[in-house]
Amino acid sequence: MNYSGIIAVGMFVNMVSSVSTFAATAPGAIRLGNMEPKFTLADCHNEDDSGYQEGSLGISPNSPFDGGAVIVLANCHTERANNPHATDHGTVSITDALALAERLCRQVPDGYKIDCLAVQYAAIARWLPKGGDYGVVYDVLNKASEDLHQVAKDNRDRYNEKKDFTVQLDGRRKSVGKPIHSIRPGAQASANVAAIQIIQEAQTVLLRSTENSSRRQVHYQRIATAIDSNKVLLRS
Amino acid sequence: MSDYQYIGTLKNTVNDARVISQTLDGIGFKVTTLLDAPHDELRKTIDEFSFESETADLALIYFAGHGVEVQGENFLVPVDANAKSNKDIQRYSVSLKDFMKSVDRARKMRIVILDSCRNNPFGDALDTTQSNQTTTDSSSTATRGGGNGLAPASPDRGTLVAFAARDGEVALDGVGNNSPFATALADKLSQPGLEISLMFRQIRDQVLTETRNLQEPHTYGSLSGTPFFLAGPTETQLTAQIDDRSSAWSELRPSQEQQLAVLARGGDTRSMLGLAYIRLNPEEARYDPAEAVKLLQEAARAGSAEAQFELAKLYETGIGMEQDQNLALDFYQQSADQDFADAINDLGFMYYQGGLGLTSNPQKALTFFARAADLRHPQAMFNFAALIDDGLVADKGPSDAAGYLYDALRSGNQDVLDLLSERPNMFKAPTRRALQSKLQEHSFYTGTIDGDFGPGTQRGIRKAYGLDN
Repeated sequence: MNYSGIIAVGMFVNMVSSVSTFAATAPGAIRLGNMEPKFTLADCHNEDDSGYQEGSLGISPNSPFDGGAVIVLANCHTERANNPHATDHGTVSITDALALAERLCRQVPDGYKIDCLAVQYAAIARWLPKGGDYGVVYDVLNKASEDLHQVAKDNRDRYNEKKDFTVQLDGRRKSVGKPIHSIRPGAQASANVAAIQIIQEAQTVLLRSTENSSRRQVHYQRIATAIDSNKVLLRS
Repeated sequence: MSDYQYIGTLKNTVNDARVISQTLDGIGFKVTTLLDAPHDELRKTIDEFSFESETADLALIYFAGHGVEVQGENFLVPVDANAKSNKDIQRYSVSLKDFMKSVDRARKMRIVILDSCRNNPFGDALDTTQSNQTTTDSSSTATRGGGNGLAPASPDRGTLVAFAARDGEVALDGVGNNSPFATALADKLSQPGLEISLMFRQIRDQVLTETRNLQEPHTYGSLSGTPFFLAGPTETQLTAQIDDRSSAWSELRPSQEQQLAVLARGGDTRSMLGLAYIRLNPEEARYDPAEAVKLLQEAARAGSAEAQFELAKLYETGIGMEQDQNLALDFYQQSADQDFADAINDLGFMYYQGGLGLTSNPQKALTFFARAADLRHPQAMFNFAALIDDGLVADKGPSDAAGYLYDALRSGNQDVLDLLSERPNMFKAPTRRALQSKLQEHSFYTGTIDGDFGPGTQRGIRKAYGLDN
């Protein structure tokens, strides 16, 4: 936990080092609390929700499941890039997606957690605009995803094939989205350390991207807080 | 100052002080008025004002009385000054530097107005002849060698010094009850919706007209790009949301926007910035980021550090233009090279995290944070304190970290207040204890120095920030 001494991570440490005991609690629906669907990814794909991919993360008002929020993957770069400004709905959607990503990966076996998070971060980044206020978030999540995947790849267990997982999340079956690497047992500790550093760096970038006198300020802080943090540096 | 004991009295200066005091009071200022004060009282009041202005958005000093330039430095003369030499002036007067220092820590804007360059009251007793050697401003006039008027001022960025008459020239006392400058100032100060740079412009025009071009008020220093409406942006609205420059500039009335455009065409970079900010407000019908970029580029080319910083942010995010990390970095560096603290702090951030294509270099980042902190940049002071707390800064410890945190708090940064209130444990116990001691030292906290930020410490933090409870 000495990386730069700026960010101390609690959540991710637990995630990569503990055996998952998380269980579904709300059969029949995926809900984010009792919230109304917010910034919907349906905004950026077809009305019939055809952009939905099983096992992906996103929020849609068209969910057949009790009006709950279903996280959806879609490539929305074209549409999103036209809106350079952060919005409350957009930011809440990102923080919710990050929280769900963490919950999902908490449930895969320990050796697969790092690559699982790599996949989820990439999935969330895919529906963010590359520029504008969310450009920093896009960059941060993509970089974290690439770095985490590299750690998983460099330390992969050659005796354990890549594998997709389907877990129960709030009573609904969700898949990671694609086959992921398992870390070999002897490298788990060092891979965890590397992964923690990557997450810390992602948090650091987001938290330090906080800008006073700027509309981005509150959005970045909320997104960064969704990943958890201990110390903040402030931008101008 | 009017009733001078050893030099010529002035007819209108006390009247001027009264009318400006009443005007400021009327538009919501908390005013301290000092009339015919001797040196000790003037200096004591300045010291008190200095502490109080730390938590003010704007601090303003208006001085009407004798002022004199001695060897390039300006001195304001209290009523009991009996100067027979240059040294006496330094001993018995207050310098413009003292005034500027007194307002220096105000949060948003700092103004010193001198309605004082009326003549050299000490005659031949003072040696003012060296002033030509110490002043370099090309606008100095031929009258300077005679010892009249004041020397040009060189305030820091964000501080405005206004002279009733151009440096080297003499201001008129006025034939009525007030000086022409005080009359114009009182008139314009109380006008709602008048942005401050345009206000001083209009004062200048009014005084020139009233004095038939004999007296030309002049301002020195550069205001920040934050617009300021001293009497509120409109008749109904008392204060603008000055933290959001785009919104605040959008309060500008169309007639003033036209004046701003004229000034911008004449090369005034702050006016270019103002016009750009209006076009960066997505709530505005005038929203036009591409036009804003053009204005900022022009101001940046003319050397505006703030425009360079704003351009860097736009290139970083790709708002109004194609994203370009290299250009963003280039503009951040140009701005930082001019000691623009916002840019220095953000460069520290970039070097720390390895952003904008830079290789992460924490040690280099520290030098940026330290430099911006020395310029009293609130976020940089907080950041530097965080890194000290993490043990990353050689030769600095908890007491130093607490000092920076205290100053960041006093500077009125909401993020700093929120973080210290809600998440004090991001700092280690020794730093927290040192901050409690610092609060105690300034009478904001009377509890135990235990590093526990309970209700007492929280109250102290809010008081230091400038909140009553």
